[in-house]
Amino acid sequence: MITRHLDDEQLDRHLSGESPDPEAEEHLAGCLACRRRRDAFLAVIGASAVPDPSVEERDAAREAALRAFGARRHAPVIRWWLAAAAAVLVAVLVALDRPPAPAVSLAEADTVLEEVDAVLERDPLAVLGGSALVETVVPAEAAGERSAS
Amino acid sequence: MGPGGERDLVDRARAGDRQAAEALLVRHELLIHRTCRQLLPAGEDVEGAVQETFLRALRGLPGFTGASSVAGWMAAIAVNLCRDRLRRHRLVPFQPLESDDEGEPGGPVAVVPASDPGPERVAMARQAVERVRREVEALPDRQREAFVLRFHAGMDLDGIAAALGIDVGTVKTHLHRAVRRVRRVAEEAMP
Repeated sequence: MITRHLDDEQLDRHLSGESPDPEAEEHLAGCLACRRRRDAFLAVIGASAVPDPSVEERDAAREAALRAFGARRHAPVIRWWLAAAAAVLVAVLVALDRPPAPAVSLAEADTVLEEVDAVLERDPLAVLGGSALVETVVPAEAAGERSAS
Repeated sequence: MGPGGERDLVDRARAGDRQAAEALLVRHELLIHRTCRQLLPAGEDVEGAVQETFLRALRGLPGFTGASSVAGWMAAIAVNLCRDRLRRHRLVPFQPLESDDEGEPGGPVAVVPASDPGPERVAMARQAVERVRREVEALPDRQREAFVLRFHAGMDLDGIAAALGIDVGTVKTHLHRAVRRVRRVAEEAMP
């Protein structure tokens, strides 16, 4: 057993947690002065620490992380169902918003052309009238109603 | 619970067992809280950093190889996150010079021997604690991280090596330099 007190180097190695020097450790175990020197250092370090969180703070941090982790784990499943539901909804809306079948429009066009022919047969110069001819065949109120529908 | 039990917890948590995941966090949460609290400056969102560390650990479980302890692996996540935050915000660790922690269990009064509780000794203890605190904050980054993990988080050298991603010999060098510097200041301040 060494009889002199630990020097700085030995104390620092002990504090750093390096492989213990058996002689130094034996001296420390039996020397009150060296233990006090070590403990004084540890006490100052302990006092300089930021206090530990409360139990409530620890619980809150843990729960928040677990919630976030759970949400992320389930997020892909939720997104898959949302995407499928959105696709079905869009398909239904597109189907409902489709314009009426063109057969009706073609029938109307035939009627208009017949009337134009009849007008031009009565007055060939009517072709120069432009909008007047159209007004004659398709009155403005009827055209407005059609575009509104 | 030994390392084998912890490994079992890791496997169960990986498989989606919430209780196992929670048990893992409970087991190491104080280490993470202390690491973040000591490495980040006052005013920084320390609780946010702790939560982010937990979340990164849970998400990273599939990649945990078991080459190091869970404690070392989680401490590594915390240290890296603190480094990122310090770098991003260009934060400098800061503690107020004056604090009202005289009555707290770990406050400066705890440094004063019960045989000599006079006001002068208490004032000296307060100054010593502040000087030591500032000295630790002024250490080079790696030395400070090693010091915090050793003296505040209570890790052994292997755990510190895993947390800092360096070998044990380098940890010893960092710790030895840090301890020598801080001990000198502490003994000067508390003769």
